Amino acid sequence: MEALLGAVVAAITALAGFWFGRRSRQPVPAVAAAATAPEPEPAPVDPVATEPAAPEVGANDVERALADLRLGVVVVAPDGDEVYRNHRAREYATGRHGDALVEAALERVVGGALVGLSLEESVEVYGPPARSFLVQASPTYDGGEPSGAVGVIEDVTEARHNLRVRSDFVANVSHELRTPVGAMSVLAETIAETDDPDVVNRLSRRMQREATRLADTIEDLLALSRLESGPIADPETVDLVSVATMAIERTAERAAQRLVEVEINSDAPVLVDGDQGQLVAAVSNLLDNAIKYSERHSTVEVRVRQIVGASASVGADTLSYSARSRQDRAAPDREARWLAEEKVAELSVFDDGIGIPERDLERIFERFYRVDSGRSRETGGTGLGLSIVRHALLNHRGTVDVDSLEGHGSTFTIRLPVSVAQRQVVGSVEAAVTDEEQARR
Amino acid sequence: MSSTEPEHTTPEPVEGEHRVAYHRDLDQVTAAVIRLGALACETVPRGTEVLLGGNLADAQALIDGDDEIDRLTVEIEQQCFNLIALQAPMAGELRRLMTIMKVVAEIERSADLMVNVCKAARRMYGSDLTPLIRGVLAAMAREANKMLRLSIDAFADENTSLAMALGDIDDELDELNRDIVEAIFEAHHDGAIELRAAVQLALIARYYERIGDHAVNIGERVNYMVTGWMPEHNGMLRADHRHEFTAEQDDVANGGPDESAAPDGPDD
Repeated sequence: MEALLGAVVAAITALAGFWFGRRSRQPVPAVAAAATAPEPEPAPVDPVATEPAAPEVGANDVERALADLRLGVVVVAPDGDEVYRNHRAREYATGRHGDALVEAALERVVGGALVGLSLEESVEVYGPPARSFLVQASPTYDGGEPSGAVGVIEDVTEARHNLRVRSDFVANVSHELRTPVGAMSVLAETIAETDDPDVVNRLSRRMQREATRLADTIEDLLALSRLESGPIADPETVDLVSVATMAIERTAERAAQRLVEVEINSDAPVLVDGDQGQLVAAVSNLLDNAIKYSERHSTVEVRVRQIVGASASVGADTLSYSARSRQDRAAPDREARWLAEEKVAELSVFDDGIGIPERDLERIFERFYRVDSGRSRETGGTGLGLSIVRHALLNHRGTVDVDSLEGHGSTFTIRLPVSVAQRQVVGSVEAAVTDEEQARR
Repeated sequence: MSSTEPEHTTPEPVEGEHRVAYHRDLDQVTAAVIRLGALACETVPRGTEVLLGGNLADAQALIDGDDEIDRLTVEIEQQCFNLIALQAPMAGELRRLMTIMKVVAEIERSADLMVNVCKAARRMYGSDLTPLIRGVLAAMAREANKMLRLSIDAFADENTSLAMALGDIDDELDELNRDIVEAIFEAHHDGAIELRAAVQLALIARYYERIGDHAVNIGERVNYMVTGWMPEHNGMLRADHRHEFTAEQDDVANGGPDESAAPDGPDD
C-alpha cells in the first residue's frame, strides 16, 4: 500500500510539472493526436528534486486536491495498470455515448505515453449536447527511469464556445459596419464622376438608404449597451397585455405592408415589475421578426398569460416535434429556481414562417449572428434584435426561449416573474383561474 | 471447468486468477459495445450536418470513419468467438455473448446507413431543399439519434422495460417518414425540387427510418439477453400452432395421420 501511494505521489508531482508546463506554453492547436519526440518535458519532471521542497505534503493531501480538480486525471503504471483515477476521470470510465469516446481517446494517448510519446487528441462530440474535449498523456520518469504515464482529460466546451462567439462577433461587427460605409464610398465616388442628373438622383437615394442602415445599426448598438448597464433601478408595474398592444401598434405598418395579420390572445391583465420601454422594445423585436419571416396573408399570434412556474417547462405546445434552444448557456441557476416556484408571466409570439435551422437555434441570441447572410440582405434588420430581447429580459430576471422547426414556424416565449403587486392583491382569485387552466391542459 | 457455474454470478475470490480474467474480458466486451454504440450515434448528427449544411469534406471524413466502426465490430465479434470457444460460457453469459454478436451487427448497420445518407447527400449536392423538408429531416435525425442512444442505454443498463418500449418510441419516426413523403410529393409538384433529388430524399428518409428499426431490434435482443425471451418467440409459437392446426385438419380430411404432410406444412 505504501509503495502504491508513493507511486501516486511521484506521478502526481510529475503531473503538476507537466500540467503547469503545458499551461505556460502556447495554446496547442486542435489537431488530432499530434506526437512530439520522447522525453519532451525535461525541466520539472524530476520528482526527487521537488520532494525535499515540500516534505509535509502527504499523499492524502494531493489526492484530495486532485479529487476536486475540474480535470480528469489518470495515473498509469509502466505495465498499463491504473494506479489512480480522480473523481472526474471516473465519470468517463463508466460513461456512455460521448464519455465513452473520451475514454477511448484517453486509452489511445495513454498507450502512446507508455512507450514514451506525449500525445494529445481533441474529441468533438456532436451529441446532443455538443461537447469538446482535449485529452492528453505524457510519460512520467522516476529518477530517469520510466515510471508510467499520466493522462489528463479537459472539457473545453465552454472555452471553445466563447472563443467562437468572440471571433464571430468581431468578424460580424466589422462586416455590418463596413458594408454600408463601403457602399457609400463607392456611390459617392460615382456621383463625383458623373453629370447625369438621373444617375445622381438614383445613387444619392441609395446612399441615403445605406446611411439609414448604418444609423439603425449604431442605434441598436447603443440601445444594447444601455440595456447592458444592469437591472432596472426603479421598476414600475407594467401590464404585459398593454405592452403587447403597444408593440403591435409599433409594428402595424410593416404587418400591413406584408399583409400579415397580428392577433392578440389574452384573458386578463398580467402585471410584472419592470421598465415598460424595454419590454415594448423586446416584444416589438419579436413581432418584427415574426412578421418578416412569415408568408404573406398568414397570421402571427401573441399570447399573454399567467402560469404557475412548474408548468413553464411545458411551454409552447403548437409544434409537435420542434427543437428547443438552450438559449442562455451562462444563465444562472437562480432563474431556473424562480421559474419552478413562482407564478410566471408569459408572452409568446407564434408564427408559421420559415423557421430556424436546428444548429442555429443556440446562437441566434448572439449579437450580429445571422442564420443566413443572404436572408438578412433582403429582409433588412441589424442582426441585434434578438440580443436586445435577451438583454431586456435579463434585466427583468426573465428568460427568452425559442422553439422552432424549419418550415413549421417558430415560437418565441418570454417569461418573467409576476409583479409583487399582483401576487398580493389578486393572489387567491388568480390561483383559482390558474388551477382551472391547469386542469384543462 | 465452468460447468457448475450458475447464471448471473460475479467472480468469487475462491475462483482464482482464471475466472477473474474471464470476467474482466466479459466486461471489456460490454464496454467495447458501448463504445461502438457511441461511435454509431455520433454518425447521425454528423451525417445530418453534411446533409443539411452541405460540407462535402465532412462527408468523406464520415465515410472514412466507418472503417473504424467496421474494425471495432470485427474485433468485438472475434472476442466473442474466443470467449465462447475457450471459456464455454453457460446460460446468461452465453446469451450475453450471443446477444452482443447480434447487437453489434445492428449498430454497425446503423452507421452504414449514415454513410448512405452522406453518399446520397453528395449525389444531390447543389439542389436546394424546401424549409419544410429540411425541418422534417432534422426531426428524423433527432429521433433516429435518440432511439439509437436509448437502445445502447437499454443494453448497458440491462433495462428491459426501456428495451421493449423502443417499438412504441419508433412510431414517431414512422410518422415522420410519412410526413416527409408527403412533403417530397408536394415540393416536387410545386417544382421546388427535381425528380432526381426527390428520389434521393425518399431514400434518405428511409435510411433514418431504418436506424429506428435497428434500435428496435437491439431492444428485442437486450430483452432476450436478460429474460431469454423476445417477440419472435411469440411468432414461433404462432407458427407452431398453425402447423399443428393444419396438420389436424389434414388428419380430419384424410381420415388419419398423413406422414408426408407433417414436416413441410400444408401442400396448397
